[in-house]
Amino acid sequence: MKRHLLAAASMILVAFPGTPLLAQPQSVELKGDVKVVRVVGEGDEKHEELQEPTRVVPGDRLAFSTRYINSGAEPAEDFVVTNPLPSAVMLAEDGSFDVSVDGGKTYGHLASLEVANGDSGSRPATLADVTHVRWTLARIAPGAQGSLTYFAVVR
Amino acid sequence: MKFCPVHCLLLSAASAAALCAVSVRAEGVPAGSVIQNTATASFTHNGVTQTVDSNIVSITVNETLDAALASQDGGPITSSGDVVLRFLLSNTGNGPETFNLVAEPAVAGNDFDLIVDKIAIDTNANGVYDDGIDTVIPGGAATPSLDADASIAILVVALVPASATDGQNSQLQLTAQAATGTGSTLADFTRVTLASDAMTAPVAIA
Repeated sequence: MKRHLLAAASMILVAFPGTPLLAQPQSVELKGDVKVVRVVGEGDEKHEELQEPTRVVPGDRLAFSTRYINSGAEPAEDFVVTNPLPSAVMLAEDGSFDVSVDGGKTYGHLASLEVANGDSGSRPATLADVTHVRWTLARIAPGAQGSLTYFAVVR
Repeated sequence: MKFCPVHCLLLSAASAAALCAVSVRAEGVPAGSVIQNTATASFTHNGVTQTVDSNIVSITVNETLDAALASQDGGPITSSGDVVLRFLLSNTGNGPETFNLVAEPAVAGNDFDLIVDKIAIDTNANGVYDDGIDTVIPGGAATPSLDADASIAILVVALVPASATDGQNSQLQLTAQAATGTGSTLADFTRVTLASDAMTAPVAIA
């Protein structure tokens, strides 16, 4: 019997060589959401409001958010959240995140990035060039939570 | 002021250009497109790198209705009788749509009003009305369905009234309005009534 158990354990190691013997429970959860930004009120009362996206048309401004929570007992280090932009939207404004304009290969501040511009070399990247946004947090303490948001316009 | 024969009807090119500067702009992603967003997090937990995906949030793009009209008469028009005013109707919405067209000859400031005979689609795209060839749009009927970004040439055939005299001016206003939401693939489609996209063709009696 002992021989059989050892053989079975070996098969698991071969099948999943990168998996630790004791799998870590997943302690961080992400929950995505989207709202549409509407301007409501008149005059001095005019303000923006996030509403359910029951009707969305080109030109509408959307708020994509990702809520995170570390529900485990240990901190999550080097926490990096990457969000590819859907092709039907364009980043509406820069934010406290890095962006990619090359499909997620490289990241940086938008103002520091360039894109190829045909024969003339390159040009400064614009909001319309952004393909991904990425947030980096050094540490998420046990029980900590937060939300990360980017705004985009329906193309 | 003498009586003016119909052959001296003149369309002012400069005025037409000023009045007809309507830009045609596609209204973005097609109605029915689904936008899906998801994020992925990576982190280190007890020295082990893990990744976790968010749920996928999805929204569907609704139909937006819009149209553009632009006069295609780039210069003066003379006519011995009927006058044919040429327009280009474009669907600048993001879904297929039909349009109701109204040619309104009674425009404020007119010295005389044209008599609208018919509105037709310039089927053979030659810029003139060809009886039996070009498709007349019956009164109260809508155009055939136009895909997003598609355009059709419209002809407004009108007569100058016998009472018109030299030096008098007239304008004809063509209005297009989305007729229905036909073609929308959305169950929650809401009909939107647009402000009219109007184009005025100034006509002057020389």
